[in-house]
Amino acid sequence: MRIERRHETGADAWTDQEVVQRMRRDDDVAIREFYYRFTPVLWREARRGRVQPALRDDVVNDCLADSALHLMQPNVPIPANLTGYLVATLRHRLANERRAMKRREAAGEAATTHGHAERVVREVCSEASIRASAGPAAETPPLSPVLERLSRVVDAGISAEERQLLRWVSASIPQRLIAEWLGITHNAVRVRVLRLRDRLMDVALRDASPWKPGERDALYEFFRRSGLSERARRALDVGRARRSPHRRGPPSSRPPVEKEDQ
Amino acid sequence: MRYDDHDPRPNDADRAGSERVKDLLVRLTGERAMDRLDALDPAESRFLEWYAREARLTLSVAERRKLKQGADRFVREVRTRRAVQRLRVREIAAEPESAPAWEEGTLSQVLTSAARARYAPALDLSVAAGAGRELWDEPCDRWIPLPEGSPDGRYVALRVTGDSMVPLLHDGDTILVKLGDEFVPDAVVVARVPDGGYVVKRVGGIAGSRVELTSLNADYPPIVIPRDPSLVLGTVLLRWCIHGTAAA
Repeated sequence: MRIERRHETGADAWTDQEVVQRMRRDDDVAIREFYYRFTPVLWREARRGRVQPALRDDVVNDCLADSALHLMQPNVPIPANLTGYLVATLRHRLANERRAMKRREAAGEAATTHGHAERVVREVCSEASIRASAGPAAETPPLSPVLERLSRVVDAGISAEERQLLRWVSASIPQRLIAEWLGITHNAVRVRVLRLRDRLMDVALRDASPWKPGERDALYEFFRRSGLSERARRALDVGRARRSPHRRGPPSSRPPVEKEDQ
Repeated sequence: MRYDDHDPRPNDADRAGSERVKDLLVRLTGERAMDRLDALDPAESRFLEWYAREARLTLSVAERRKLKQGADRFVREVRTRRAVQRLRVREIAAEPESAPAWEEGTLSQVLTSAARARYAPALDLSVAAGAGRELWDEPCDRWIPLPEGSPDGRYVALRVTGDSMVPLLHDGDTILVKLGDEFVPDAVVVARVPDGGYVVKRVGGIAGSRVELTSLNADYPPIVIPRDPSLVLGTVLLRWCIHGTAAA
């Protein structure tokens, strides 16, 4: 088995730079090690970048093979952070591909607007049919526009240090390791993480002004379903009329029914 | 109390609710924070190393199997493309522009005037693939302008057929051949195989009076021909290829 051979050859103990140096000498073991070492992280990035599962292997393989051939040239400097280099390369490729797809879609739209071809109006399709027509790409449904916007609002309200800590926490990095990286105690990391979580909540509920009434309702539903209702309601200034019919309580707590003027 | 619920003493359900929302916000915003990661920032190198190691360790059984199966294919692909890279044949990812020939005649008749005007007479290599046909006697009615940077000399542009030189050359590609009669190791040449017509191959090895011509596609066996300069048409310097990048 190849995986076991990695240990036999000692390839798994090589640094990233050693792997590339050996690849330059056409060492098959090093080329294989390069593949084993970086394919999983690029798979993960491709999944995060919403590459269709059917295309994911090819996208990652092309990126890895092109990068390997580039790095194998003797005059090319070896990046100090090879993982970062490969992740950045894949991200650039995906961004370029997305831009090209948008251009193709715009061209197709322009072609059908002025021609007699049949057009599919996206707004009249159900979400299920859009997802089905997207094929396997729809395995992870995208965030709703309101949550997408919420994540943008929260992200804009935190500092770079908080964002870095958030990245580490959301990637489930052990707090002891974070403490080691930051050079602080484990307890200090715990406090920072607690403060960060509070801060996210504060930023999310700080200002209701960016939200339109319909969006406020959707956002309130998100918070209410998660278990936070009263604070969210007040922060988002959602009308009492909306929530009262679902609540049991004394009649006085129900909203007054406005009678139409005779 | 931390959150301003109406009850000054939040119960367990309230606390659980707000913790759940915080978890969701961490997940929601964490994804965006990952998108905004500057992967080339040296300050993130430890995180990325950890991230890559974690990705390796948390592979599913199916992904591990796929990784094992893909490794040999990856090594083969890199080695083949590396070989192509070393051949130093320039690539233009487009069809060549051609113009009607300024002079009518066979290749041998128009070669000098085409070279003077910095054009390469264009021919289809398949017409001379059979035995007994001489490339020089073929009439050519199209010329291709020499790309910028081409050294002075006499050239011919040939459209190739077959897949023996994949991934360097694909069926339908056009190659620019600088006429000359030298066998140089690792060069890609157009040679005449006695009783076999013209072929495009890599010069694999030269031993005494024999030359081994190899294909890049492993399905084709090497061809051994006499080391006779008259059997060499010239060296391939450039290819016009519309099949995607064969070499990075």
